Amino acid sequence: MTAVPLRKRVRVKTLLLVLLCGWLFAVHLGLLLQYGLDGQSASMGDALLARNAETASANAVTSVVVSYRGFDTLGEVTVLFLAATGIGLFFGRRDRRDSEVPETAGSPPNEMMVTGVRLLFPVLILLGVYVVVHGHLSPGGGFQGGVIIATAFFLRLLADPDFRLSHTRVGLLESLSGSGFVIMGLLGLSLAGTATFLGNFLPHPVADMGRLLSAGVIPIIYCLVGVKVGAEVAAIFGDMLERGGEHEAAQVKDKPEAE
Amino acid sequence: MTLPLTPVWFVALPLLLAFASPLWVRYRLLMPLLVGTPALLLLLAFVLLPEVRTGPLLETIVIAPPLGIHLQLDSASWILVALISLAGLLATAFIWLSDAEPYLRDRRAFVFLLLLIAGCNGMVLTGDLFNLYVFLEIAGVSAYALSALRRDASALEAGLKYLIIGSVAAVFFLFSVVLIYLQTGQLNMAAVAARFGGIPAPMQLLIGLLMLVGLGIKAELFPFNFWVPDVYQGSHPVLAGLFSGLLVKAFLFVLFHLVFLLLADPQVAGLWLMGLGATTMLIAEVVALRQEDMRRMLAYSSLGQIGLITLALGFGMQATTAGGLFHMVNHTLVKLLLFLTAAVLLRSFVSARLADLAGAGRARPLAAALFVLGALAVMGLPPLSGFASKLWILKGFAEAGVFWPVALILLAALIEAGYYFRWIKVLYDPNGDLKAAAPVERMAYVPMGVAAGLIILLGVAPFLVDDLFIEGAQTLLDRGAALSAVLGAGS
Repeated sequence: MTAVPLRKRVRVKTLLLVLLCGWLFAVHLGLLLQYGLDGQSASMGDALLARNAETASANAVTSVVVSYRGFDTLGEVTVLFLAATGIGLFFGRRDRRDSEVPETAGSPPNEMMVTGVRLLFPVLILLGVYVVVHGHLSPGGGFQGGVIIATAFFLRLLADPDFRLSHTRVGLLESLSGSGFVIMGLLGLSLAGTATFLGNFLPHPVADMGRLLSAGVIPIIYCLVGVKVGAEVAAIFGDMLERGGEHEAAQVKDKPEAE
Repeated sequence: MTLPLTPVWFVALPLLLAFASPLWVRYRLLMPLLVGTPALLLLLAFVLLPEVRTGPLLETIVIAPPLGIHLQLDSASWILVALISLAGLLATAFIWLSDAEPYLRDRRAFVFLLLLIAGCNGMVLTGDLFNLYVFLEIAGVSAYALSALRRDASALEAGLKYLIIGSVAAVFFLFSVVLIYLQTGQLNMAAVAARFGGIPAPMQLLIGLLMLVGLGIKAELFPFNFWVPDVYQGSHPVLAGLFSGLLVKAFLFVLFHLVFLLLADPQVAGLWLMGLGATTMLIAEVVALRQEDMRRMLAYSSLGQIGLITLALGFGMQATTAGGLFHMVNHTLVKLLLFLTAAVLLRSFVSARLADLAGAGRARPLAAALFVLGALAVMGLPPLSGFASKLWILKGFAEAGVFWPVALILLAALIEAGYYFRWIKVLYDPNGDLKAAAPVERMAYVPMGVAAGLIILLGVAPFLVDDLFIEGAQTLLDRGAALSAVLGAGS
């Protein structure tokens, strides 16, 4: 037996806190599960659905996400941007010359991985682009497609030791698409026809609903979101992988980093 | 094609500049823009002021409320927006002019600082509950990253603590928003408020509790504020000043805005909040007596003042509410000044501990003098602004015939005097012989001087701003007008 007294081994306060949280969670779940059984009526969703023809976007969810509540989406993109910047701060290398400095990779990737990624990479990129571009027509959109594109680059990073994401280029892409989103919003504000932030200032006749070129600014904004999300998630992957490389390099030998 | 001056700029401008930050790095515009953005926003606030005083400024985004999101700039939120811009301006000017540590001046700090301002502005302006949550996250995530910016042990501890506790708070708030949406089918605050009375009472209580815990953690109220001193001590003093001066004020405003808007009869909730405020104030002030680190002492002092503001706003009468809003502004100015002096002292003498600062007043006379000024303003001595706002609050309570808060506020002021004079005594210790280890840019005193000037100005001539705060309090308390402004007459 250890000499630690029982009251130190079992933290009563922590236990009580955990129990309290568990109880709250159970209550909450009990409440939530009662809803939606009989279908919500007269909610905001119905009212928005009834107005969907205004945006001429075949995917009603997209018209809510990008147009009606586009301001929230801008905010969410910002949170992701903050998270990516924060991760870059804590996981990225301290002295970043540029990505040209070769790093000692971990164990070399095996043949299966290399061949598989070679086959998957173009397909994933294509799928990602498709999902982003068709965001206003079919399920999917900027967030989903962006993550698919980022996954493609992540696999490439894992499989190909010589492949590097240029931080400058990713950062530029990220900032251009982010500013693009805000500028689209401000254009909507400044043009007399819409006069509201994120207003749909391009023509979007209902007759075109379902075509690739329809719904005015919605596909443009969703493409910008796709680029931004892709660049950010790829940057997060890159930063985390780099950190691993740096860590191993430091363990193998004291590599002078600051030179 | 025109560029109308609307409230959305308070969010859109910092967002745009933060997203485009690699460009500014290339053209070496980072520092001018960091200071220029809050300055522009402050200018915009003053341009919009005459319009705001005639009636609330509602801006729809894409579709009209209650379906869409709208921003609302009224007399109450104007005070907060102007305060956020002013505090941001002073802090960023200090970062620029004092030639602060490199980690405060690089691209990432630029992004986090601007987004902190954007998030706070958005929280104060928005009229939609989910939008409020999004901005709460933006402000929160920037604050977590800022507090860990220095990347040494204490900063990382601060950042991690803040991240965990802040995320928990955000989840509590999100749960309450979910429940509200399930119950009312609305997210627009005014539309929710119109239906809130119809929610069954136990559910109202649960929503209220979740919201209280979520916003209570963020606004640093008593049982939820154990993390505050660590975060303030680990962060750079300028950033701690921003957290205390701008972030907490925005959260406090959101909390009271929701209380006064959602509840037809805010008496009971107000009483609870007054209780919390009073406890926060007393406990923080007593604990501050024993602090040996200046940043920790200032953190507890900040908590005490937050408690005082909560106490005043929770009462829900016009006089105390106006006084509380005024005290919010004063406290921001004072705490910013004190944290900036702490930054100067920390820079000069490497340590901010009581024992290491004996006699610092002779090596850095100006910083010590400003510290004394700030300390006197916190205690509420005339002719400084703290006196004017505390007097307003005390008069409000006395007129309503409620005397226990008066006694508590005076007691707290007495304790404050105790620990601030302890620090002042050490700063002017005749036996101490300190040599400054690092020089401080003379220009760094400019933002501090501006803050000090405003403290004196508002103390000597509070009548200059009286009307603003009275109008702000009226708008904050007038639930009927707020509802009909958004939903149209007849609701």
